[in-house]
Amino acid sequence: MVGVLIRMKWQILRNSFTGTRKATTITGVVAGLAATGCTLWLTISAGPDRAGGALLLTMASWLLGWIVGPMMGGSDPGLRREHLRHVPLTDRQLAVGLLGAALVGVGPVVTLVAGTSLVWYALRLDPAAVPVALLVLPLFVLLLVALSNVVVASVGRLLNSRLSAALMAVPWGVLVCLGAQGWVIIAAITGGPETALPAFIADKLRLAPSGWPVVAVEAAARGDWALVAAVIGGLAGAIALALGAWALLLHRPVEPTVIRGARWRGWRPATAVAAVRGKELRTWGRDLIRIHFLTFALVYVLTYVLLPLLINVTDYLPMAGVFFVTFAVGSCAHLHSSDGTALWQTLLAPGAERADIRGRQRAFLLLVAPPALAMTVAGAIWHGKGDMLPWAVGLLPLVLGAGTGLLVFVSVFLPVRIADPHKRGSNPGSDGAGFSGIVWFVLIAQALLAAPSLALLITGTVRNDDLLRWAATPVSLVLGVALAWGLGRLAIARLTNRGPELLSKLG
Amino acid sequence: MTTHALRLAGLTKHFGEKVAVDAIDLTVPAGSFFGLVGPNGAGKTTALSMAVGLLRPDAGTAQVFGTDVWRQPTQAKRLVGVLPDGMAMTERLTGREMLTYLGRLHGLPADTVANRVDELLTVLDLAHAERTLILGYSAGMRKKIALASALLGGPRLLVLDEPFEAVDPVSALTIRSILRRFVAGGGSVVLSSHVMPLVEQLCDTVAVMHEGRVVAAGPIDEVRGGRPLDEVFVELVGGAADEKELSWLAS
Repeated sequence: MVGVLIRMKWQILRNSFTGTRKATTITGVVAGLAATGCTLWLTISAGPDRAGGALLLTMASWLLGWIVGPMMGGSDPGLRREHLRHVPLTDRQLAVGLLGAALVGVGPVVTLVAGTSLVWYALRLDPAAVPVALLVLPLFVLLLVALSNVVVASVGRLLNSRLSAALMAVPWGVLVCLGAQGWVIIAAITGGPETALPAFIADKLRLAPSGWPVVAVEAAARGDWALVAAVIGGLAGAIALALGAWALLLHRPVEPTVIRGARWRGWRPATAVAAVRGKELRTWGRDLIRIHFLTFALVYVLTYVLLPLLINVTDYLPMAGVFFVTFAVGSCAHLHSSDGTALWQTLLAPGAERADIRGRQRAFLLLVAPPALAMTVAGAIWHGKGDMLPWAVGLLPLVLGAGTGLLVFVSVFLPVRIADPHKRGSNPGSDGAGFSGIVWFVLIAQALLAAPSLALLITGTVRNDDLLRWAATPVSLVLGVALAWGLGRLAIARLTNRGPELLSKLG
Repeated sequence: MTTHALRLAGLTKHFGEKVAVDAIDLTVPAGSFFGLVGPNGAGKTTALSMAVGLLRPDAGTAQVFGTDVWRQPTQAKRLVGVLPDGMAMTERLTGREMLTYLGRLHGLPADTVANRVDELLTVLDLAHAERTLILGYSAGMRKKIALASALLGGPRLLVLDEPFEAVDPVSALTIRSILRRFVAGGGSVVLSSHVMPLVEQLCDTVAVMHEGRVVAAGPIDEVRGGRPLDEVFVELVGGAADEKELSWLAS
C-alpha cells in the first residue's frame, strides 16, 4: 500500500513540475542547499562546543519550519485524504501510507541532506557515534514529516470560521517571527551576543524533539548507550504518537465551512471599478485563506516590532505600518491564482481588464492603508523620539504604492496553479500551494523598488543630514504613485493581451 | 449583415502531441438552436472555448455575427453570453451580488442591472438562497446562476457547455423554456451535450464531433435520416460495448 502511494506521489510531483511551481521549487532547493552548506560549515569549522550549539539551533529551526511551513503555503501538491475516501483502508494504514507518500518530495530530501551535518558532528566527537547519527537522522526526518502532517490536519479542523482563521494566524505569526528575531531573546537573556550558545539555552534546546538527535550523538560519543537507546526509543515513540494522532484526525472528515453572505442592502456600484472593489472587499471578509494570510502579516509585524521592547529598543515601533504593508503584499500577491478559473468572467466582460486590476488595487489599499497609518502614528507616539519619523513617513507612501502595484503585477505575471475554490478539499491547510516563492519575490522586489528612498534615508542618517532624510518623503510619494499606476498598467496590458494564457495556467 | 451567428474556420488546438481540435469548420445559422454532440474528449469544450475567446487557437478563426473573436474581442464579447463547464465563479459573493458585479463589469446601467438581476433570480428560482455564497451552491444551482450571468448582458448568441448536467428535472424544464423563448425571440443558441434525446427535442441543427473533427453537421433531420440520434451517433463515433466484456461482473 505504502509503495503504491509513494509511486502515485512521485508521478504527481513529476506531472506538476512546470511553470511557476518549477521556479519556486528550484528556488526552494537552492535556498535549502545554501542553508545546508552553512550548517555543514558551522559544524565542521567551529569548535566542538559551538558546533553542538549551532546544530541545536539549526535543528530547532527545521522543526519550526516543518510545523509552520505548510500554513505558509509550503505544502506540495500531493495526495489528499479526499482522493482516497473510497479506498477500503483503516485510518492507521492510511496515515502510514500518506506518511510514506509525504516523504517523496523536495522538503524531506533537503532536510536529509542538511542533516548529514549531524554525521559530521558525530565523526568529530567519536567515530563510534557515527552509526547512531546515521540511525537517528532518518528517524528525525520521519518525525518532522509526521508532525507537519498532524499540524495540517488539525488546522483543517480548527480553521472553520472567520474568527478561528484569524486566531490561527496568531501562533504562526509569533513563531515565524521568533525564528527571524530570536537573537533579541538571546540578547535579552544573556545581555549580549555570545560566541557559544549559552549552556542553559542549549539545555532547553536539547529537551525539544529537535535536540534529541544531537543528544543521542553526544551520548554515543561518551559511551552512554542507555541514553542513546532512550533517545531512539523516544523518537520512535514520538513518530508512533504523531501517526496515531494523524490517524485520529483522518478518521472524521472535516465538515466544509459555510460562510453566509450579508443580507442584501441594495448594492449599486457606480462604476465597473467600484463593482470590482466591492467584490474584492466582500471576498476579503469571507475567504478564510485571505483572512488568515492578512492576520498572519499583522501578527508577524506586531511581534517583530514589539519583541525588541524586551531589550528596551523602541526604534522599530514607528516602522510597524511600513512592515505590515510589505508583509501583507507578500502574503497576498496571488489574487488571480487563488480565484482560479473564475478569471473567465473577467475575460468575457468586454474591456473589463482595467476595472479588474484597478478595482483589486483600490480594495487592497482601502484594506491595508488605514491600519498601516494607525500603526505608524501609534508607533511614533510610543517611540516618542523623532529620529525614526523620516524613515516611517518616508517609506510608507512608497510601500503602499509599490505594494499595490506589485500585488496585481505578481498576481498576473507569476500564476501558481492551485485547486479551484469550489474543488478544494475541506482542509484549507492542505491547499496552500507554492506561495512561499511569491512571498520571497515580493519582499526582495519591495526592497529594490524602495532603493531610491532607502538610499536617501541611509545617507541622511549616516551624515546626520535632516534635509536628505526628509527628501525621501516626496521621492516616496512620487515613486509610490508612479509604481502603483505603472505596475498596474503592466498588469492590465498583460491581462488584456495574454488573458486566455493566464486562464490556461490556472485551469 | 451576416446570417451566421457563429462561424468557425480551420480552428485548431494542440495540447503537446495531442491534437484536441483538428481544423474544424462549423457554421451556426442565426436564429438556430444548435447542438454540438460527441463523446468525452471529442474536443467540444476546447472548440467552444476557442469560439468565445477563452482559449487561443493555434490556427483558424472564430467569428460571431461576422466579428472576429480574436481580432475584435471587445465587440465580439458584447454579442455572446457564455456558460462554461466546471469553471470557478466569483465564489465568495451571493448570487445577487455576483450578478450585480458582473452586470456593472459588462457596462450595463445600474438600473438595468438591478431589474434584470431581480427577474433572473426569480425566474431561475434562486431568489430564496439570498445569503448563500456561490461556493455553497449545489451543482444544479451553479448551472442556473451561470446561465443567469450568461443571459444578463442581453446577448444575441448563447454558448452553453453542458447546461443540463446535474440540473434537476424541474429546473431543466425552466431552462429549456427560457432557451426556447430566447430562440423564438430571434436569439441563437449553441449547446454541447451528451444527452441525445434532449438534443433531439431542443435543437434544429446539430454537429457531431469525434477525436477533434466534425464528422457530421447539418439540420437535425438530415443528420438523423429518420433514425434516433443516438443510433446515428454510435455509428459515427463507434465503440458500443461488447457484451462479452466484463464477464466477471456480478458473476
